[in-house]
Amino acid sequence: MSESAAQNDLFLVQACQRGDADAWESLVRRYQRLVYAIPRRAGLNDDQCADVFQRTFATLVEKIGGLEQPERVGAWLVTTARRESWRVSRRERSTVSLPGTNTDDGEEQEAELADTSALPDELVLRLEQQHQVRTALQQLDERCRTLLTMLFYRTDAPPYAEIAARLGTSEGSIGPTRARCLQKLRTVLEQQGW
Amino acid sequence: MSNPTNLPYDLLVDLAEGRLSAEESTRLRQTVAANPQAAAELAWLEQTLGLMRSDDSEDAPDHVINRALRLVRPPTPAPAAPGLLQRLLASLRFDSMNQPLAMGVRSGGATVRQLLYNADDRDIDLRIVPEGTLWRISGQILGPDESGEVLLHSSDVSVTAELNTLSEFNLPLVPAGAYNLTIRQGNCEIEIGDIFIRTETE
Repeated sequence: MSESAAQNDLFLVQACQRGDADAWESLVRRYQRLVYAIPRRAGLNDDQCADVFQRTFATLVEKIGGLEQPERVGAWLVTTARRESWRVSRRERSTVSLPGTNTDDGEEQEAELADTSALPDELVLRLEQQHQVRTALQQLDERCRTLLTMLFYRTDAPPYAEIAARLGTSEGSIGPTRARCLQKLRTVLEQQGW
Repeated sequence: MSNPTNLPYDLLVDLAEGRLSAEESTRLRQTVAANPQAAAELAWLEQTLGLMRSDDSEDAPDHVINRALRLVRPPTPAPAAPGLLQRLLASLRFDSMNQPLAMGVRSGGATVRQLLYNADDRDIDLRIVPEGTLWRISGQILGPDESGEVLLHSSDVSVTAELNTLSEFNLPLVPAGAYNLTIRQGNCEIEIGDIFIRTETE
C-alpha cells in the first residue's frame, strides 16, 4: 500500500469512526469495484456477489472502531470479501444438489462448482494492483483518463481516428499524447509507492 | 536510435502495446536489452498495460452500492419524545421482479426476489425465496440499532419474527398470497402494504 493512499484511507477510516457519512461513501465508492471483483472472480452469481459485498461492508461498520491498521483498510476489505466468498460458496455446496451429481461422474461435476478457497493469492494480488492502477488513472486529467481508458480498458480498442474525433484532436497527436499520459500515470503511481 | 539511452518513449510504448511489426519489435528489443534504463521502462509499461488490458472488473450494481452506503447514515434529527409511537408508511424503491435481467438481480437461475423500501431514516431490505410450495421472507432493517419485531399478516395467516442484533429477521414459511408487513422497532411502527407473494408467471 502506498503512503499517500494509506494516509488517505487512514483519514477516511477515522472520519467513518466519527460517523461521517460522506467519508463512508468515499470509502465504499473507492473500494466497491475491488470488493465486488472478489466474489465475481470466485465464480459466485449476482445475488451471491451482492450478499458478499453487503456482508463485507457491514462487517467493516461493525469492526471499524477496532481496526488495528486502519491505513490498510483496503487489504482488510479484500481479506474479508475473500472469507465471505468462501462462506457463501461453502453454504451453496452444502445446500445445493446439482442435477446429475448422483451419477458416476458426480464428483467431477461437483468440482466444477465455485471454489473460493482456491482463489489464489496471485489472483488477489493482481486484483489489488489493477485497483491501484485504476485509482491512479482517476487522478489524471479527463483527457488522459479518456484516452487511456479507450486504448487499454476496452476489449475492442477503437482506431486512432475514432479516439481523435472523441478528443477533438488530430490522429497524429494520439501516439505522443498516449505516451505523455502514461508518464503521468507512472508519476502518480510512483507517488503512491508503486 | 544511435544512442540507446535516448530511445523515444513513444516508441517504447508502441513496442509494449504491440503496435510494431515483428521485425521492428525484434530489433528494438535487442536495443532495449542493452540499455537497463530502457529495459526497466519497457518492463513497467508492459506490466501496467497488462494490468489495464486484463482488468475486466465491473462496478458493483447501484442498488448494491446504495445498500452498503446506508450502513452509515448522517446524523438524524432528534427522535420523537419517548413514549410516542411514530407510525410510518414505507414506500417501495426497488423490486427485482420489475427489473430487466440486465440489472443482474436474478441471473444464474436464482429465484430470490428483492424489494427495497424506505420509511424516514430506515431502509427495509426484503428477500422472498420459494421453498417448495411455500415462501420464505427474510430481510434487514437498515437504520438505527434498536430491537424489535416483524409481523407478516394476511386475512388468514400471521407470522412474526424478532430482529437480531444486525436488525435481520427471518419469518416462518408462508403460502402465496397478499400480505402486509409491520415492523415495530423502538418507538417506530413501519407499515408495508400490498406485498404480493407469487411466482413471476402467476
